[in-house]
Amino acid sequence: MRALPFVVLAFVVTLTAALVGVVTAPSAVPGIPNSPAAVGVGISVLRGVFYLAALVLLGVHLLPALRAAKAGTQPIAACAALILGASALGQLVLQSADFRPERPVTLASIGEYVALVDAGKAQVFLFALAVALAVLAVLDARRGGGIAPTLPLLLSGATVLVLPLVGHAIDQPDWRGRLGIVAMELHVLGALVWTGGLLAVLFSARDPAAVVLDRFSTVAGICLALVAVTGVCFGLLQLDAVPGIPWYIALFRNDYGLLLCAKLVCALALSGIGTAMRYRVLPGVLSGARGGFARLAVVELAVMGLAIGFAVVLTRTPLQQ
Amino acid sequence: MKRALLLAALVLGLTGLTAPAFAHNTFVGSSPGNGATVGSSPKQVSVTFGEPVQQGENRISVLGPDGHSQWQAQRLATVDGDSVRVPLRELGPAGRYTIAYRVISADGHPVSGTATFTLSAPGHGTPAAPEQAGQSDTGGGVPVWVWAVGVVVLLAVAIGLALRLTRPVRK
Repeated sequence: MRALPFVVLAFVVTLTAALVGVVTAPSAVPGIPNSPAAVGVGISVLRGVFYLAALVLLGVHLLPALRAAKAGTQPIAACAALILGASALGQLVLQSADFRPERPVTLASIGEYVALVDAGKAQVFLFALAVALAVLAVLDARRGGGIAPTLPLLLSGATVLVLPLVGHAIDQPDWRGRLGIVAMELHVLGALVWTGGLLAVLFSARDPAAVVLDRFSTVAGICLALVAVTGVCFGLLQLDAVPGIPWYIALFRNDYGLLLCAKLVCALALSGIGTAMRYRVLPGVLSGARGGFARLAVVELAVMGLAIGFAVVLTRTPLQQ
Repeated sequence: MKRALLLAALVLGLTGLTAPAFAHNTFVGSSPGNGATVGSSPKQVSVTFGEPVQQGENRISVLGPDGHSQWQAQRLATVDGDSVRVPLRELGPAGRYTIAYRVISADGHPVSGTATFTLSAPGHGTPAAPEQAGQSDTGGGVPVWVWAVGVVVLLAVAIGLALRLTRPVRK
């Protein structure tokens, strides 16, 4: 039962990524090699798995900060780290297949992809980070919780910051690019800390302690504001960069804009749920009533799962159609 | 709070190391222009994007009015900053030619699409021999699904090991 919230979240994320990935798969261009649609969908789904593992890691390592016990969570941290590493390897294979659609995938072709493309180097780096996190979890278990939570928390945070950086090492002094990248980093971090934190709260106890809920409520409020502002900011910057079409038309014209709209609807729903949580459920729990925290929290997780599923497809969706 | 500050410092530190561009590349224009009409065969075809193009497997194919004959004179396109170009054979029949492109964005995502131009007077050229199709399927690699199975098996072994190693130590 303790795993139920995660199962709901994982189900929604992977299903959304797969379905939306299939619907928005770009049509084949004549005369040049195209990758099968399954490769693109596979990359989206694996990216979803990657973020699921990352938010579990963030959640586990946030437990002490939320004043909840972390005892016995090391197997979860180790498994999440290994799944994160495997998803990085899987993405590496599929991305190199996508890079040269007409050639079979060999060790040499993957090596060439890593050497040529930063997105490949990033996946190798993520795999190394994942191994380090798994080793830390094992060491922590062997020493009975002897490792301070700051290091694994920082490493978990670093895993989600790597991919948005990829491909941006090109020397181009453009303020919009700089603003965009900071917005994207904060957006991903805010969303995953929020989701992972909520999972951690639900995991901490059947009826989470008032002090845990109180602390998480503040974190969630900050994350909501951060995610909404950075999301709108980055989305507008992207749409504005499409030549020839004003952003407000691009918003409704193509898959990219429609996915942005879908994420905006998720954000509105989440702010509604969050408000109900903070001003209805939380006062009840603080005054000793048991309240319907868990039920509402699982609904919130499902909406977050939708948003994450849209997000992983959005990162692969072209701005023009 | 201290951790939040540390994370914020990490974000700023990481982003400070790079001078970013946007993630997704966009089609800006082509030469000959999209929808343009040319009187004689151009020497080359180029496509310009909103962001720099990654070196590597960038393709431009120029398809004849019949929709399948290929007229580019080079397998891979040459990258020149924000644009890619490919030399062209002398074109043949008059009619609408399609420029099909697939380039790799700076973030590693492929961007593909088409543009067209019309040749008003026929030239004397002939299309490239269709030798490239299927030539590469004999490369001796394994299908992607074999890799997937490999990764899953590796993961299962690693998880089994990790669960064994993280078993709580009884005092």
